[in-house]
Amino acid sequence: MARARKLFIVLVTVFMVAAAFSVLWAAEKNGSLNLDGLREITIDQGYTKDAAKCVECHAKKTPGIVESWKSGRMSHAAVSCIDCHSVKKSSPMAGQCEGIKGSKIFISPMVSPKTCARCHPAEVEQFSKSGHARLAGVPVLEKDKFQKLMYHLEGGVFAGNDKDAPSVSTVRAAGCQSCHGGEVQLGPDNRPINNTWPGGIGERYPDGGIGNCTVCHTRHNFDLKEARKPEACASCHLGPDHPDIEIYLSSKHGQQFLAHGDEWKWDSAPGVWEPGDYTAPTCATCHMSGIGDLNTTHNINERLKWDLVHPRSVVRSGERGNGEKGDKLMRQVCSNCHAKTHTDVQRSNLDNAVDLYNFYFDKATAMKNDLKSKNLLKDDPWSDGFQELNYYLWHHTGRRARQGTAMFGADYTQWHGFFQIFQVYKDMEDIYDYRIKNNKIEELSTVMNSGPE
Amino acid sequence: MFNRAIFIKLFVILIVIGISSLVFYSAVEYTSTPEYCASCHEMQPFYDSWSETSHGMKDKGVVKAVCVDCHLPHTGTLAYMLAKGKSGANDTWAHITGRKTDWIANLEDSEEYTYHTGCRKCHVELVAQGIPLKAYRAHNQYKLGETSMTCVTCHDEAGHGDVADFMSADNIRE
Ligand code: HEC
Ligand code: HEC
Ligand code: HEC
Ligand code: HEC
Ligand code: HEC
Ligand code: HEC
Ligand code: HEC
Ligand code: HEC
Repeated sequence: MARARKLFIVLVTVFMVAAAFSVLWAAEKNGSLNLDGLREITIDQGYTKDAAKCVECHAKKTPGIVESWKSGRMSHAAVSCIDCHSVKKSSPMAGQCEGIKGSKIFISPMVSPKTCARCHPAEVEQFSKSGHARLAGVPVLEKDKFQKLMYHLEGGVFAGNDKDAPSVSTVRAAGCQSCHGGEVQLGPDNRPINNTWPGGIGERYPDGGIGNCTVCHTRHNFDLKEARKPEACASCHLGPDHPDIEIYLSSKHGQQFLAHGDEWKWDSAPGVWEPGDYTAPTCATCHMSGIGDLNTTHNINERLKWDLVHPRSVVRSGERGNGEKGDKLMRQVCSNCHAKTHTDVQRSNLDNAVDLYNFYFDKATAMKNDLKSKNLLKDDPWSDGFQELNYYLWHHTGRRARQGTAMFGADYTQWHGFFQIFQVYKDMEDIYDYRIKNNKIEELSTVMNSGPE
Repeated sequence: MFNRAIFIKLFVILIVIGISSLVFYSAVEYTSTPEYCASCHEMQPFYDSWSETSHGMKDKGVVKAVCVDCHLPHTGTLAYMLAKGKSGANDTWAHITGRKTDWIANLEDSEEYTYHTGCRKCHVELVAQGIPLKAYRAHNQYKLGETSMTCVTCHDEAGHGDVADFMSADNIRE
């Protein structure tokens, strides 16, 4: 018996040891590999030979680009032409410039956010979820009514311009696309064709990347300071239909920026750019930058409550953001410099402006629906005075009133805003009454075609 | 109390477990070599393109990572074995039935079948002293969980080089 027991114990032990060894051995084979060769990945702050070549030749061929790049921070971190412009040979955008013909290196003048994501993944992910990415390209690319506007109407096809003439695409390529972005089409040499490149903030690239970071961080110095200044947004957020820069500059905040901005400290690291570096907020401070406990975000939808851009204002939801959360975050921005009583007044002003605007819009829509049901609307809205006014009501004066109130540009709440809303509304009422009374559409449009300013 | 019959039964069970686990281990071992994977001709281009990279034999002729290091999860034995069983069964089925695969289109989903837990077994320290600033930015965001991107999102040429180019060139042996 004792012998059997001893034998058993020995056997079990041998088994345990053998099993442990085999596990260890397997782990050894799978895991701890020979890393000798890896030492060659040198910890080197300098440039590889290939990288240096691009800079050297381009310093002669395109000195403007190289000088601009040299003045940016990325050049000091050894991020150079090749890091952003080289692509795989199998990339749909792969080509070779004069200087590298015949070599194994392939490049493209197109650089999508996918490239930036290799080093700035969080910024790109946040950006991709914002209205600045996919949504921005939708009007230019996916909506029939805007295709008709860009090509048929503005492109003069309706007046007889040849629909295949290159001039038909002028507005798309040099207008809408410059702000919104379009979609790159490629020719046989993998270069862009049909003026589909370059494009604005929501440009869609053949590698699947969507967006254009350079609209705020102008190439090739990709400046953080620049993006924090209101000028970074001003090239797009301006004009009669969304005069955000005009509103800002005429607000108390803009007044301080204009008066003291050149004394502010613009280059603090993200997360520590705080009141003290500046005394009043810029577009970036309210919509993007970290302040107090808030983190920096590249998703400009995060801090918004209302949709102030579409015909009827609603609290944001779905792909356009989360309005309730947005309201809280925006209040948190203000709380760094204003007390609650003050902020409550501003937010309540905005809610009231939205209500007032929606009231006008709903009444106008009721008139429009009534006319439609009585067959008193023209098929072509652009030669129908009532419909044209309806457009200016929401798209021009209505947006100005809403956005003016959101960002404290009193002139836009009043003179460019509700003052004109009530006038446009009255004119619409007159046309409506005329059509109902006479059961016909008036013969000539009474509407000026430039719209109220 | 020590019943002889029970003893013998226990003994036999242990022997069986022992032998089967050894067999099992050597089977797992055997089916974990790149040569085993490449024994199906479908895998040949991946074997060839892998051997030319630095994880293959390019640097100093030393292999640094094999198929199972990257294409199986390394989050625990169970997950590992499950994934191994699943992909093994899938591939065997595809091989037997001659199902065609669009490899180039599949590259879109490379993050799904290349596990960063595998990379992390060797590349433990991602923000070590002396790391170039350009790598530091992304590695740090990855470490802090600020991004859902994984190692292969950026290092997509680490395992097979420009595999799409390789596949479209004359490298495919039937
Ligand atoms: C940090 C990334 C980055 C670096 C570094 C970089 N570029 Fe660019 N480059 C871009 C981006 C982004 C664009 C705009 C691409 C687009 O709109 O699709 C661009 C556009 C260009 C263009 C086309 C636009 C034009 O004005 O003709 C050229 C040429 C160019 N870069 C050359 C260079 C050269 C030369 C270097 C090195 C000195 C360099 N780039 C470094 C990102 C970079
Ligand atoms: C020997 C000189 C030389 C070298 C080296 C060189 N380039 Fe160029 N590159 C040029 C010239 C010349 C052009 C054409 C400029 C023009 O179109 O006006 C050009 C054009 C470009 C363009 C714009 C292409 C286009 O279609 O608009 C990019 C991007 C570019 N180079 C990037 C690079 C990169 C990245 C490297 C290094 C891998 C590099 N270049 C190396 C001379 C050179
Ligand atoms: C190879 C890695 C790499 C790529 C690719 C890259 N960056 Fe950078 N970027 C860096 C590093 C590193 C820094 C930090 C430099 C520093 O702190 O001195 C930086 C800094 C920046 C900054 C802050 C600059 C400042 O003034 O502080 C911006 C903005 C930026 N990058 C934008 C971009 C954009 C846009 C792209 C794509 C077109 C891009 N980066 C591509 C590595 C990269
Ligand atoms: C100067 C730059 C600029 C140009 C040119 C421009 N837009 Fe916009 N557009 C904007 C900005 C900025 C907004 C966002 C305003 C806001 O959120 O309040 C916008 C908003 C829109 C919206 C509402 C948002 C949405 O996606 O539903 C549509 C639709 C639109 N634009 C269509 C067009 C079309 C079509 C053209 C050309 C015929 C065009 N835009 C030209 C800058 C521009
Ligand atoms: C709408 C304007 C805008 C666009 C578009 C934009 N950025 Fe920025 N970016 C900013 C602002 C503003 C800051 C400074 C935030 C702050 O003050 O903390 C910034 C900061 C950065 C920084 C510095 C972060 C750091 O920690 O040093 C990087 C990197 C960056 N952006 C990359 C990108 C990339 C990549 C894209 C394209 C996907 C992009 N940005 C597009 C406005 C923009
Ligand atoms: C290159 C043009 C461009 C620049 C520069 C730009 N934007 Fe925009 N922005 C747009 C367009 C286009 C839209 C409308 C997107 C759409 O169609 O939904 C927009 C929309 C927005 C919206 C509303 C998003 C939504 O979903 O309704 C906010 C907020 C915004 N931008 C803030 C900014 C700020 C802040 C800056 C500067 C730091 C800036 N933008 C710079 C073009 C630009
Ligand atoms: C003091 C903070 C602040 C500043 C500075 C500021 N904004 Fe705003 N912005 C707001 C608030 C608050 C709203 C309304 C948000 C909401 O819906 O709750 C808003 C709304 C917007 C919208 C409308 C979004 C929509 O619903 O369509 C755009 C576009 C916008 N801002 C762009 C800008 C631009 C561009 C600048 C600089 C020229 C700027 N903002 C400056 C606080 C600010
Ligand atoms: C960086 C600090 C800062 C932030 C953030 C900030 N403001 Fe201001 N704001 C000021 C300063 C400074 C003034 C001018 C002094 C004053 O009037 O209180 C001012 C003035 C105003 C005014 C002019 C009215 C008055 O009392 O004269 C309004 C309205 C206003 N802010 C609203 C807001 C709202 C709403 C937010 C948040 C969306 C906000 N501000 C965010 C600093 C800030």
